[in-house]
Amino acid sequence: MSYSDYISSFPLESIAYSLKFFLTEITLSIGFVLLILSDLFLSASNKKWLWWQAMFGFVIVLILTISEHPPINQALFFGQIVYRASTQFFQLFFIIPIITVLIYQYFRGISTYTYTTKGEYYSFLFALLLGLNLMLKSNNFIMLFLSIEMVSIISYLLVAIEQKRKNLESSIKYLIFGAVSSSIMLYGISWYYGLTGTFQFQSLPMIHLGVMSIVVFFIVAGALFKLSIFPFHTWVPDVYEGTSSPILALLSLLPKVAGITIFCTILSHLVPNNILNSSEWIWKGLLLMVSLSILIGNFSALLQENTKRMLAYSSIAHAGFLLIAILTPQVVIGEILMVYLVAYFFANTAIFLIVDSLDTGHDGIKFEAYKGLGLKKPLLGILITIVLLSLSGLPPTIGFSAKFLVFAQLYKSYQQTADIFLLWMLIFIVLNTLISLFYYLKIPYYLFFKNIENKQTTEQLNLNYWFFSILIFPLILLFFMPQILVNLINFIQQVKL
Amino acid sequence: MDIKLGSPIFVVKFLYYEYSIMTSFLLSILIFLPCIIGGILLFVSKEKHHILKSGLIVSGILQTILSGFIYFNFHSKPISNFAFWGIERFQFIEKQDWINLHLGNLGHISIDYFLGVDGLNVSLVFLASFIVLIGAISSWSIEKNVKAYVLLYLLLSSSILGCFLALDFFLFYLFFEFMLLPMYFLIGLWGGARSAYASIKFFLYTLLGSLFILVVIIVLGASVIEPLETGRNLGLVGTDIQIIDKVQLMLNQNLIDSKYLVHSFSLIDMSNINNIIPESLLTIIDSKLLLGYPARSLAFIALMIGFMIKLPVVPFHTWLPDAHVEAPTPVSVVLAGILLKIGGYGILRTAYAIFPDGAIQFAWWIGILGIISIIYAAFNALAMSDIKKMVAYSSVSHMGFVLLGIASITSEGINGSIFQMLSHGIIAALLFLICGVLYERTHDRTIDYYKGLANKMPVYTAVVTVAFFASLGLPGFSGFIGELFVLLGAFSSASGNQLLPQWIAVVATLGILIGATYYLWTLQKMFFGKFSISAQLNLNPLLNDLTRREKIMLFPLVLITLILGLFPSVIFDYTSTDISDFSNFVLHTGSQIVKK
Repeated sequence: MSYSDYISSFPLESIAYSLKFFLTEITLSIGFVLLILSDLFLSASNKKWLWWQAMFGFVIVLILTISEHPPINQALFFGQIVYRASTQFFQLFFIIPIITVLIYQYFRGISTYTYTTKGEYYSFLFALLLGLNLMLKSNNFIMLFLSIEMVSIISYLLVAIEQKRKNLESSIKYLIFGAVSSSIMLYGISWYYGLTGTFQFQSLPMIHLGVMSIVVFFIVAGALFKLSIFPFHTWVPDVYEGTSSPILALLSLLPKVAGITIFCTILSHLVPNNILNSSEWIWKGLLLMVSLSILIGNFSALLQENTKRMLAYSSIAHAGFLLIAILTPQVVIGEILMVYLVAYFFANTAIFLIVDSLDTGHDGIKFEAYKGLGLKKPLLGILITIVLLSLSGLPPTIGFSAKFLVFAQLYKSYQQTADIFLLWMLIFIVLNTLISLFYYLKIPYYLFFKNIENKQTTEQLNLNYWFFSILIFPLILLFFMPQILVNLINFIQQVKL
Repeated sequence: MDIKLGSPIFVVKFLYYEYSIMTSFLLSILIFLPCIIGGILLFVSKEKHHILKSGLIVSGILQTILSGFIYFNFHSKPISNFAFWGIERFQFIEKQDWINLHLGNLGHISIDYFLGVDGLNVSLVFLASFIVLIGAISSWSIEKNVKAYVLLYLLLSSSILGCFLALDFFLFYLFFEFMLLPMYFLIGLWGGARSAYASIKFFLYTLLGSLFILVVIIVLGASVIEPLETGRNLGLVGTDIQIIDKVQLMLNQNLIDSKYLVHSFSLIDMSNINNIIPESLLTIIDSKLLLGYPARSLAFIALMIGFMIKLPVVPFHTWLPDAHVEAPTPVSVVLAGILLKIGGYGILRTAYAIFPDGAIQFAWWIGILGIISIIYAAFNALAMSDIKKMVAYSSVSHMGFVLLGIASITSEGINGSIFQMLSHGIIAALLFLICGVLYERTHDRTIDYYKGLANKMPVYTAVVTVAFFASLGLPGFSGFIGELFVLLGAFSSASGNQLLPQWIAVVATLGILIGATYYLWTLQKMFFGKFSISAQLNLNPLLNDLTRREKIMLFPLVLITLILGLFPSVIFDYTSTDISDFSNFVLHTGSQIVKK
């Protein structure tokens, strides 16, 4: 009997033991409350201190996350929470974008936004991170559902935080779609409870394939909604269009990543062993949804005139790529997914923040507004081009390496299973890369090939080139030295094991 | 003996030491020199056009000197082993580990920074540097956004040379793809009225081709191992050759667990059939089917399509006339002079070396595509009213000869193909410069608008006449030698290895005739007779003769086509041994695999 088994027979000791590995979450909760309180007591002229408080809080959380050494694969809090080998990586992956966006907003000027002087913005960020962390570690459907709802509700609030008419509309749309998919998931969970008698993650008994598919598809619907996979993608363009870009840089990335991790966890628990053999139908259904996401995302993006809507559709396609990185032979969170995520983080954050910087109010997010900017401000043009190259997966950027690895993995799994479906899939997504290039090239086209019309916009621009250069430089550096990234991922995972 | 600092012996030894270090990185220096110069030019104010353009020319001159040094220090070694295209054939080799990924049970991926020259690429490297230099001189007339132009042009020349020198397929692909970007902007930003359309068309066509190549690279990477690293992983001891032999033996008996395999992207490992994993898709033991077709054939076809778009070969050629018509003169020169050659070189280096069986099985089809290109493009050229478009179609026609020579897999044919690439590189540069000269004076290139230009521009007319005759294959000029050898190859294939029927060679010979027709016709219409220009040319242009800068660009090119035509041994002496060996290797290995 191990120590942990021993103490779990004493409830209080067990909780005390588990609390030792819950410091980040406790800190986040304290941060959440403190930010609301200090907003009450700070006078209007001192509101800018809220930013410093939030930053301080997140840095502490970052330090705590790096320094903690939790036991791997051991259930805490009576089986509610578990640390997995990849947890550390993803926790870091959640904090770093938040800190990046906060730093960006500081440089852009806190008074630029209506919401950065409000305490609730920062406390929402704390709550968002708390929800994401719990989602990552959940080991039980109750915990999972609660954390997903927590992330969702915070997301609705963050979308609406500017309190303009457009934001509210987006928020309501988001809420309705989110509520529907949550209820679908809840329905699936109730089936699961009926079949197994427990909420803990465990494999489904060998039952009728139809029942099994209903359970699996209904349960993963929640994750697929967060990932914006077809047919749960319809909310994306409207919500993106109506949301403040820095917030979007977070909302387009973090819930998606959390969705991926729970998707992996659920699937590898529910349909264990070799998912290919035991339930080919489920797996092919998922691959089909992924393919349709890529296709619909790419083709819809072709027709857009508005940068944010274009990026929204392209993010649907990217979510498909992300899922392909894990849906091959066994559902695993591997290095390839992590490389893809890191590539996506840099490119995605950079493009949304650039869009934010270029957004001068009136029609600032239409392609038309970028006419001739690249000729006027060559550095800006080059930076945007690099980001778009990475998003479309062309060398010399890490986006190419990531796509290359996804293709290679898909091919390897074809080799292992000799399933021709996978090969078609490979050809299909390779050709989709070409389609995606059409719309990604549109922005450099407007930047460089059109003549400048609107003189005013360029003069109003206030872009922090240092910030963006530092953010975009890794896209190229990591292509030439992928060893840095791979070593880092290995290091994070191995230290904890 | 102790050597004092500063003593003559020390100086000699030091210089020799420096020299040996430099030669061991010579190819990297050749590739990245333009990048370094670009880095320096970054700090030059964008108003100082002359400094920027001089930087471009200096970079071109240095590259030409370096690649000349490489060319004249290259000695092909007679090696009579046709089983594989081994590393001992290469010189100035540079090999560094670049990317190593461990994929758990799936083994390792190893990607190298791997450069080298052999008979296939050494002359093309020289050509590339030289054409880049000519393009740089011709860029002197660019006035718009000079700094951006210079930087993009330098990036382009880096990636072109990288493409010719890379021996790792991944590295090759990287340079191949990266070339698109500077080209896209060079055509789009400094081009004519419809340049945005032309540049996007160019980009997407070539990208489509390179995606085919990418898929094959992935499949190859999963199917080919690097024997030496795998042996070290397994803990084998012995000399390198012993380890390699042992690993290849073990591999073919399925004795190696997949987690010890080191997957390689090296083109040299790929061209050795002993390195192919027996149960992989590309195995040579039993041909595996994919969608009902043999997988190796499909991979071969995919590679061929990728490079035939670049070459271009007739059904895939439509991007070329658009790109040429819209591109500024120096970019046209580089495009026709070098970029197309990467297609031909890529076919030989990758498709033929890795899938020699496909080369034999599809020889007939490739030969047919070759003559379709020759004939169809020649007829198109005949119908063009824009002189630059005519030259563009004549390029497609001449590239048809390259493909035909390659298809024959004979020593004469492939030697002829490479010679044709060199010769066309020079002649196409010449022809596009000629179009540029006219365009700079009148801003119109319609053939029918001009008559009797010889009266106003005698030197220009002389150069045009020489260029046209060189291009149509008059004996004494380089075009003749290239086409002659290709046709010899096609005929000897019909009687020797019997891959191509006789009539293909006969039809190809007719292609030369059509070529003569459109050149002579244009010459007669535009240059001879009484001088007059059409009223459609709204400005009354000063049709002055060639300027000094134009002469500096054009005369060396004329001289080189003459030298190549009269003394083809300057090329053949250095490269023909290797190329003949290569054709023997393809034929030998290919027929071995086909028999199995």
